[in-house]
Amino acid sequence: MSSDASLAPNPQSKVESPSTYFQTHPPGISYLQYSLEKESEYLPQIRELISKDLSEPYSIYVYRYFLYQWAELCFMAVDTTDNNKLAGVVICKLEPHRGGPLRGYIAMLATKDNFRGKGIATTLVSKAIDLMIEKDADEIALETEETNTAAMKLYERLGFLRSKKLHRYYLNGNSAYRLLLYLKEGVGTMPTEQDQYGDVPVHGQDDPRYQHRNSEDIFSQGIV
Amino acid sequence: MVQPQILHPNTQISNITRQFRDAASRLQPGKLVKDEDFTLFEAVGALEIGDPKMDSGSLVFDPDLDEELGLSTVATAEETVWLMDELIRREVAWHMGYPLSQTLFTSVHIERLLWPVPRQLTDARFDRGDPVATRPPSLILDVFQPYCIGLIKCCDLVLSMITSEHYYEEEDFATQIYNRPLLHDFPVDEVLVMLQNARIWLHDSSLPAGLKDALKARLDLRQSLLGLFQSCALGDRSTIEHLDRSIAYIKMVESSAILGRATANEAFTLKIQRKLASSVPPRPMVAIERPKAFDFLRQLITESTIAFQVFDITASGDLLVAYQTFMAQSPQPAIYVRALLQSFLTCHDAVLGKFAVKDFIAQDIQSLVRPIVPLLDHGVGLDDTATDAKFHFCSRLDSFMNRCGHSFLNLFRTFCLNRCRVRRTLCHAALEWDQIQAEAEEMDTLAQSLFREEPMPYPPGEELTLSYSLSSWVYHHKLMQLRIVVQTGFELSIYAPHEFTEIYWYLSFLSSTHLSHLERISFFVSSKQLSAQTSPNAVRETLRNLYRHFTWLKATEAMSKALHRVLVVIQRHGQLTNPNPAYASELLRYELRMRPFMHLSVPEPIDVDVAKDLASLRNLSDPVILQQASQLIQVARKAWDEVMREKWHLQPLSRTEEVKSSPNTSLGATRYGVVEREWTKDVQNAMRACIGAGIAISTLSKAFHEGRIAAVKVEVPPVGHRDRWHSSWPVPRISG
Repeated sequence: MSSDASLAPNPQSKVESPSTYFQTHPPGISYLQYSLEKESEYLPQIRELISKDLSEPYSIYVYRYFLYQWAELCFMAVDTTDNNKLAGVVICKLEPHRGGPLRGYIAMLATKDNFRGKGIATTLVSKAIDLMIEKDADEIALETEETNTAAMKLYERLGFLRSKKLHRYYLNGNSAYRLLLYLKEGVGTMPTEQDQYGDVPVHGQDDPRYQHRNSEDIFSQGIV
Repeated sequence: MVQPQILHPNTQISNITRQFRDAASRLQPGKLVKDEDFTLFEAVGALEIGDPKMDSGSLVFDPDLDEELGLSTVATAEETVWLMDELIRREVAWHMGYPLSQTLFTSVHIERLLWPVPRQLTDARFDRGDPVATRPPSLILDVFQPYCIGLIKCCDLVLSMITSEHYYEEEDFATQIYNRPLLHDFPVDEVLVMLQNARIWLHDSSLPAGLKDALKARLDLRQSLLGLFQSCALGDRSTIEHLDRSIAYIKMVESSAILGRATANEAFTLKIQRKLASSVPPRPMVAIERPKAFDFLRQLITESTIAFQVFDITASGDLLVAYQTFMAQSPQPAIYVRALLQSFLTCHDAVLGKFAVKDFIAQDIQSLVRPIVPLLDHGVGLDDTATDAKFHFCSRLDSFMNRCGHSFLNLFRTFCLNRCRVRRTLCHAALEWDQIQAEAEEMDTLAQSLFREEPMPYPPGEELTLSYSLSSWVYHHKLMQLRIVVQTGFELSIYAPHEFTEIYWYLSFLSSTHLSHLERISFFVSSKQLSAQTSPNAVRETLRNLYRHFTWLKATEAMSKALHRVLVVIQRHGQLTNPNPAYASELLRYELRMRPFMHLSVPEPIDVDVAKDLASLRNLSDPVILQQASQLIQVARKAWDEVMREKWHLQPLSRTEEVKSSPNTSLGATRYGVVEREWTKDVQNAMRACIGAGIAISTLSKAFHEGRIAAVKVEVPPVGHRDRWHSSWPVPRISG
């Protein structure tokens, strides 16, 4: 995404909504919202695209976990010149975070190699954010590998900030950043079930569900 | 058909096959039937049965898989060398945080020794269950087997050390041992004897000299590692001579690795994973490259030995600097060393084995604020009429000190966490210390009436006020924590370059606040009232301590103010600007970024408009700002010079055995004086950043005067880049 020079912010321009500013329509690309009846056509392609850069694959249950519960928060870019084959995808969820703010979560993002640099990933994310805003989300979170500067640039242009670094977060031993975007005032002070930082040092827990990782933490290997 | 088992008389059985089939037939293929409580974690943990990438059990049908893991009980000397080195590569991977299942437990030899779990040490044999009663002596049984046992015992000691301190599962270390206790119940000494016997066997063997030496060096290294871990477990200091020997063994091992030859039989296999835990997808084998593995071992051995130098420290403030400095090394010390440093805090139930927690914290308070209250000997200074109040006060002071002691020690522990956790934990700590500060203020108020403290005008000539010693001490530590939260934010690249202006502004705000606070403390410490309580020496000592903090903060304040100004000018001319448009307004981004500081009672959270206004310097022109920056950076340079002159410790270090034995070297000058070395490097790097900032300021000023400031190029070298002089001090590089 680093080659998105055409998208460089222009402070002079007065744009009404960020989405019109961030969403591009490269020739031959069309954007679709996922729905369950598209599963047979697109789920295998989604899996293939996402797994390509992962050392260990996600099981089918992981995709279904997201797609069955938040199908509408999955957006796809398809190549209309090639039988509407998948060119890019974003997969998300939206639910209260620890009983507190309504948190949107960007779980997976990928664009096919030959479609990169056209602003497709930015468009997909922007569409997902628009819908989350419409659904009254308070904040949006995601994680990205520390070495993935392209992804971080993409999200930071949208207004995300890195909120913390997560040591050896991925199975390959790499660290990650958590990126956050507040959508409403006072999100930082909304009470949650745990304290606001949610990661008090504890050790020796034997229940894997209560290990240091949030369940969602396993995700978001943003591949851009 | 499964036949019914014995049933409880009240249990009824009904066959639901039909209902299940009916329900299932109404579902689309692949449709998710999701239980309310089915979490993402479970989705991730779920396996696709039959997919060999996820289901390790599906390998059962792998025709290549033998019933038993092939384990050859013969090996040449070359193969033995190779096996030992391959094990070290996996041992290091485990130290680095990879689970045993991907590292040492891929070794068929280790598996044979540990499973079934040996009841006595002599059960741990490669030829267990072998029909041949006694085997002839062999390299594999008489040398490699004891080597493996030594290695496993090392792992056992490492695991015990780490699990008894604060660490993060998976982030720092994987503690899972898959029901294979690492020879935990068997004494180290017996294992050391085995290693010694192996060495004798080798000595008497007729192997060629080169190979003999190579194997000997590996046994020696193992013995020396085991000895080191054992003394660390006991809190015993090992000698520099021991360290030198170990380093020499590593060198020999490294240089003779070339003699190794891979075994014909598969000595490492992922097939063992199936036996360890069947519900986990197979994960790849991890072995660290040889040069990196040896570098790691060298660092591990060195740091585990020299960590004991902190026992020479005699003052709490110096110890805090030592912990901070030791742990800020890059690469950061291994989790074993970080656990070891934590263990020193409770060594023989005392800090460094010599200070009771209460004395330790009392000493810290004394050295900083010299309170009017006697912290340890409560009776002093109270008259007879105050019995009830006195009793009440003393018990409150006791519980306050207990609580603080815990939080104070946690500060040391926090520095031993991984860097990401240091920052996150300090965010929590600051909130905790905020509460402690409120309690301390209550104690101060009680003490004022009980000890009849006279109010004094502060600032001089202004309103009357009191010393508030205890809460002053708390506030000092809290401000330090907040500053480190900001500075580790730079170190960990949490902040994007377009945020630097405001972050530097906030850092200068924190340091200014801290400086005023120290000034206030100095005023009361040197006032006659408080100084009458203590000896002139003690007061001088405290003032000197305050001065040292003062110089450090002065340098930090001036440098952050200067860099804040540099960045304001840069941003005014369209570089490193905030993304706009964006989904989050300035206000929302401010709220998110300032979250760690927004819930504190002091320093009071700053309103976004006020912050933006102050940080923008909107009433000042570019030349004025650059002029100020230039003066500030001069101040910073002088302050860093002064910091350097003051050295890292306030109190003299106690002399160690090693120094006594060679009286010509002071501890700081010894080649292993790690705190001294790292602290000096840190200050030097800050100075270099300061010089870099000076260059940026003059480049900018020149560009401004030549009317081409809008055309300059601005870059911020990332952490790790040659031109990033200090990780916590990003300085823009300006060209063109």
